[in-house]
Amino acid sequence: MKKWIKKNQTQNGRKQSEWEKALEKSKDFKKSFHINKKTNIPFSLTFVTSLVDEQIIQQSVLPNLLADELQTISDIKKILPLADVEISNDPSQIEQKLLNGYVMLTLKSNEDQFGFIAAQKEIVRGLTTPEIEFSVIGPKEAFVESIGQNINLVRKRLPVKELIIEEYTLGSLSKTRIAILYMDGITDEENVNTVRERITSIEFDAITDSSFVVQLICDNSNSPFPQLLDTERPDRVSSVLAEGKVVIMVDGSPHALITPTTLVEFFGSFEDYLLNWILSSFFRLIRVFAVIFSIQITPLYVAVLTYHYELIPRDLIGTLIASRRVVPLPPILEALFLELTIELLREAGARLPTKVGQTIGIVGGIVIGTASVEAGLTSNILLIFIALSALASFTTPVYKMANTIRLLRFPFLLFAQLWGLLGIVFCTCFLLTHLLRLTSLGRPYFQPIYPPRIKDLKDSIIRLPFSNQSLRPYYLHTKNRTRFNKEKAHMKKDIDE
Amino acid sequence: MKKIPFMVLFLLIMTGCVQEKIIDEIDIETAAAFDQLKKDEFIGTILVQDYLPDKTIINKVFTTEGSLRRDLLLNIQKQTSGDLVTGGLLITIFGDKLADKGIVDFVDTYQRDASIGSRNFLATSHGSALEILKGDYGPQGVSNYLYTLIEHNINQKDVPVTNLHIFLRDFYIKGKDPYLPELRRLNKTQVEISGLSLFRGDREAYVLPKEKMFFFKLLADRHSGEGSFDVNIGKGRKSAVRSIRSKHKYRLSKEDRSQVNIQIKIRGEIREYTGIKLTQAIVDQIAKKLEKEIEVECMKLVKHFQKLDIDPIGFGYLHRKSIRGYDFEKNWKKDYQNLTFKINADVKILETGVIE
Repeated sequence: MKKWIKKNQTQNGRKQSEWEKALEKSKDFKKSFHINKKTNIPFSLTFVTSLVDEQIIQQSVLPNLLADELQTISDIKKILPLADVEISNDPSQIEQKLLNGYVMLTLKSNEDQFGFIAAQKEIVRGLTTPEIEFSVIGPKEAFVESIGQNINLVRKRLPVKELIIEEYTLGSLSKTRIAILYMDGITDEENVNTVRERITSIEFDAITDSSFVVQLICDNSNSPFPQLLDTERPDRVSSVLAEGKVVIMVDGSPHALITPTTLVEFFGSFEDYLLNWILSSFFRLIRVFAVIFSIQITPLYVAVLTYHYELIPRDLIGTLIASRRVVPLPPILEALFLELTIELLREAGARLPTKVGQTIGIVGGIVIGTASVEAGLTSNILLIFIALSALASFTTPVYKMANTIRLLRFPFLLFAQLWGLLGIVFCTCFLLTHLLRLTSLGRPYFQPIYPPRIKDLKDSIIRLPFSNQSLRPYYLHTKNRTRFNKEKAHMKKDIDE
Repeated sequence: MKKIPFMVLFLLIMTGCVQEKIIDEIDIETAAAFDQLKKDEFIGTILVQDYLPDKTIINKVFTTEGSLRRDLLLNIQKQTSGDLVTGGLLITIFGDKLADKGIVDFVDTYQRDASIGSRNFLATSHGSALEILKGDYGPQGVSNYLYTLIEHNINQKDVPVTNLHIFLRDFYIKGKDPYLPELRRLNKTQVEISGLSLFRGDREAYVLPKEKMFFFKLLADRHSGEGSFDVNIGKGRKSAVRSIRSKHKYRLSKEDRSQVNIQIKIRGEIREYTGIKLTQAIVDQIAKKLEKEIEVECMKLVKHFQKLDIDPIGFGYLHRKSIRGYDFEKNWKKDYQNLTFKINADVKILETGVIE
């Protein structure tokens, strides 16, 4: 008890000097003293130079403070041509405000009251085209690292009062602003509550990107699958908000997070909505095929060549044997060798500057591939398979999912070597069980395939025309399921009349 | 969480149970031939195809003698460089002397070996089976050549459908006898399907000449749109009926249970005609002629089978399934000899060519 009182006393007594002491160590902390020309009242300005825009101080703040009549602190509201001017007498706010880029004004006569003048310096990268989720047609805006700018991009697309933006500041060191976006009257309250709870209970010191949030709030952090969909496209964000999903935005991250999400959503790109439904359904099916192909083809090669020669068609067996005749390695080593080569090329390409990276990819692929076939280290058929499966793994439109898919084939390879086809079946069962158990913020991840929601298939591995999308997805449990009047949407006045 | 180390251990231990067979380290048996050497002794021949990196195929033939099929395989293992496996088997040929003695002992192993597919072919040979495997039939390899030879003749020409599965079914079913195509070696680089071996049980009883196979296929199988037959309507006018599709139907006559009504339906097109003008009257004449010919030839065939007491078409099975409580074992032998047949062919010419 005694200790507690003592601690509090010292804190209260030394409070102002404590933040001042701490800040004075930094070079960018500045305190300047001035005297008003009309009333001769001395006052001081305190701010962190790296956070404030000196132009505001020089052009709007200082000239007015010096020239106009300044009697009491409440006068600054009249004097300054700025909207965000506050007056407070709570010393506990000082540290926070200063570090948020406010300029603090104190009069020498009354040091208990402080005026806070907003003069933040906003360094925002200009809008660029989306690089990861690039689309040939459609909008070319992508999010940037400033949450204000990002919310602006979304608000512009959904100019209704129903769009709610809640904001939290998290991270004991980073003090990151995190916003939750949802549509009032559409989004399920329960989903919003889950997100709110998860966000507010984050315990972490420095949240520098939305990817941190993904890993901090996901249901199963031991799963290789991303459980929140991240996107850099404001158009995608506004369209999922309209569907009734919740979006999380993190200051300093050009990626917004979409939740709850499902596995099939990771194989749809936003461009699918910009194309005719027949084309986009075809592309989605191709992507699903590509994923299965990419995961399974090398393990199948290893399993069949190691254990199940009976399964090889009569016409293919000659080609396979002939290509493996000079290869001294068993199929598994041969496959691992090539898979690792591809992974190395990818990793090297990702670490190098773009132009060099591309060259590495092409040169490496061609040179190492042909060289290893000529040296007799690998069979050329496997080389084709591996190259195709690497190519197929890049068709996944979401980068994080593409990474997962590249990883998945290694356990499959191992099991194919240990148990042959049985091992592949075993591994597939394990993968399916994992996917069935996985949830995205409490909602099933494998939906609409399981639990089966036939109606939700309209926008999953296929995409039906917009006139069939009049209902919001069932699994989101939206408060208002109708998006638009179906009958009216079908009608075309000039044709029907 | 305790389960996971246990599972990993289990997986690692269990891997010892699977035997690796890496495809370029094994010798895959793709064709086999069996001949009778003398009483209770056989010559077994196994063909292994070896594939070289430049895509050429080497046919390696291994021959050994023994008194049991198992002996044959074991002896051959001593000659091959890799593990000899049976899963790639495409065709097995039985020499004529062996076929006369019965082949089911050899086929029996095939149905017990899980790695052997049930769709590979069995065949008999005119003369030595070994000699057929020793031939050289071109770049695709001996076993592939023989396999596709039989396959396309089944799909498009006159050989009725046959494979290991069908042979075994015909053998084990009561009231039907199996048949196999017969191969004949013409010279070192040529081989032909010379006829159809008809079996009584597992012993060869009769070889149907290849001219009659068209009619046998009408009775035992169906032509599926690729059959062809030449009709001669006299006065040097010949026509070729192509794209034949056929169906057959067997019924025991309602009045007389010992009479089998055979309904054969044929649809074909005329592709070649050596006369001057093909009128509708001539088309009808051709159809009639073909009908007549089919009825006569098929009747000859079934009568001949009856005389030989073989039943490749399955009249016994028809009896068994059509007559309730039929005592097959007791009555069939006698009933078969008393069986009468009525064949009704229905030929329709659907097209006569593009230019009228």
